[in-house]
Amino acid sequence: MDADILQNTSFLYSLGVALLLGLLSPLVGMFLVVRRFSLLADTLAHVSLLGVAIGLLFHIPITAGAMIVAVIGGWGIEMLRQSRRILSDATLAVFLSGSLAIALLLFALQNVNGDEIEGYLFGNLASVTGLDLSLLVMVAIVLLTFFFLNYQKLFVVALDEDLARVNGVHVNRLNTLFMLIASLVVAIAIKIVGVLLVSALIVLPVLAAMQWRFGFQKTLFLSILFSEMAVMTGFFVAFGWQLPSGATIALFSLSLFVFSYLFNWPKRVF
Amino acid sequence: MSQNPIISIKNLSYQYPSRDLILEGVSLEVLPGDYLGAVGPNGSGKTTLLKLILGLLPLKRGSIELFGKPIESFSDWDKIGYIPQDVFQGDKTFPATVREVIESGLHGEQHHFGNFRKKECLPMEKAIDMVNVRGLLDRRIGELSGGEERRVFIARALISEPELLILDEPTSGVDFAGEEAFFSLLKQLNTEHGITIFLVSHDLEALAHNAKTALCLNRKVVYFGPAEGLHSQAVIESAFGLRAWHATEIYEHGR
Repeated sequence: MDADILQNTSFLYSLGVALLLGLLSPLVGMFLVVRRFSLLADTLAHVSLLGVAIGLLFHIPITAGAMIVAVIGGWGIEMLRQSRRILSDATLAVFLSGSLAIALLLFALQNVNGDEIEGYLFGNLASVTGLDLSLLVMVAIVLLTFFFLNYQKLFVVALDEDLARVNGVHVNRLNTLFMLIASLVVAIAIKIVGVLLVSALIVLPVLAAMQWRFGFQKTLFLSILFSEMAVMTGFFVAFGWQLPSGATIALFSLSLFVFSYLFNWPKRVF
Repeated sequence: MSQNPIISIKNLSYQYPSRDLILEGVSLEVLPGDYLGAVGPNGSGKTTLLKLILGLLPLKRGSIELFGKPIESFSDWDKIGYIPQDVFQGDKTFPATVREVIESGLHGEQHHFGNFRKKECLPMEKAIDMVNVRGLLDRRIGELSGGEERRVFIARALISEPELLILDEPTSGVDFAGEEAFFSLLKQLNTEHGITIFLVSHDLEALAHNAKTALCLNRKVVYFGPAEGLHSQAVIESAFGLRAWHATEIYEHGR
């Protein structure tokens, strides 16, 4: 009986996290994709894995560890990018491989078993805790407030950074804030979709929505719809058949993208 | 009407880190109602000058005043409409409609998620008609031709009712017919609506025929005066070299 309740609470926690991530991920993804910075999500996921490893080392909740390290990593990426001494995508390579290497070493030193690591890499619904949900609710409040207040500014920055500067937007400050919030979302997303499949959650629904060739707002709403569809279907399939949730969510996101791409084929402009 | 300059530049020099001077001792004034075209070969410093005027590069030597205020303390950017060069560079996928791009020009005053007060819609409607982009409003910005895209960005700039338009290479990637139409639009904005124009271009011929005042740059100011003066042999030679002058001669006589 106790076990059943425990099972139920855990189910509700992970359902809540999945639902919220389905809403927040495309908001982050949209601005990453249009600024040609899609790989950032992957990089932040790898940085988050380092946070998981450090969390295990110091016996702090791993989501908290992932969030702290992801924010530091996100800040570092943005500073390196703003210094303009290294190309944006090369910056990502530095952080992606660097943090993965250190994370793997820390896992090895702590004798973390393969199954547990696999859970972080591919997502594990059973690992979601009440703390994860509480943290995500806080992130959601911060992110939605940030987007509500800065939507037009983010749009102009996506159009052209210099134009935004001339229009009086504090571009570097806005980009840094965006990066920090994106880091928090990714750090929690790895619980559900895993480090390796974060892009499926952040980028694929946006790409699918873009195939319909609407304007910015419609594309954003459509990508949230696609994202929720993929997350919910993937969630229940993973739950029902005991499959890795990252894989099922990614596969449904991918299906939506392929469908959108093919359906709009005749209208495509090359 | 007072003729206080809109842009006043004194003894401006600029150097990128570990490179030679790209601008040296540049001084000039742009008066209200002027239509100034800046021309010069690649690397002559014309884009650097534009970025300094827009506050996109830090001022190191010399001074720039915008509307009578030093650029360091200038904050009235609504008075300046900036039209960047070729924003989408062939990226057809950018998911925004022309209307959304134009609306984003109401920076600072917009409501969130694109709901505008009715009052603010007036200059927007006016701007749309002034540059004749009404038929394009629901098209996606990336699918427009270079000339159409530039007109959209002019409309975007116009909705904050600027007194000065600054354009960076506005006719790059625009075909000949589009270029003619574009320059006549600029002329109309300048003469009928009194908007001061400062544009940077590599196209000496187009500027000589369209601008009122010309600035020829090659690190230093080679020429600053009436646009017709751009045709003189001395100006072209000192900016572009002797062969360029011959080419222009052949072009002129062939017309």
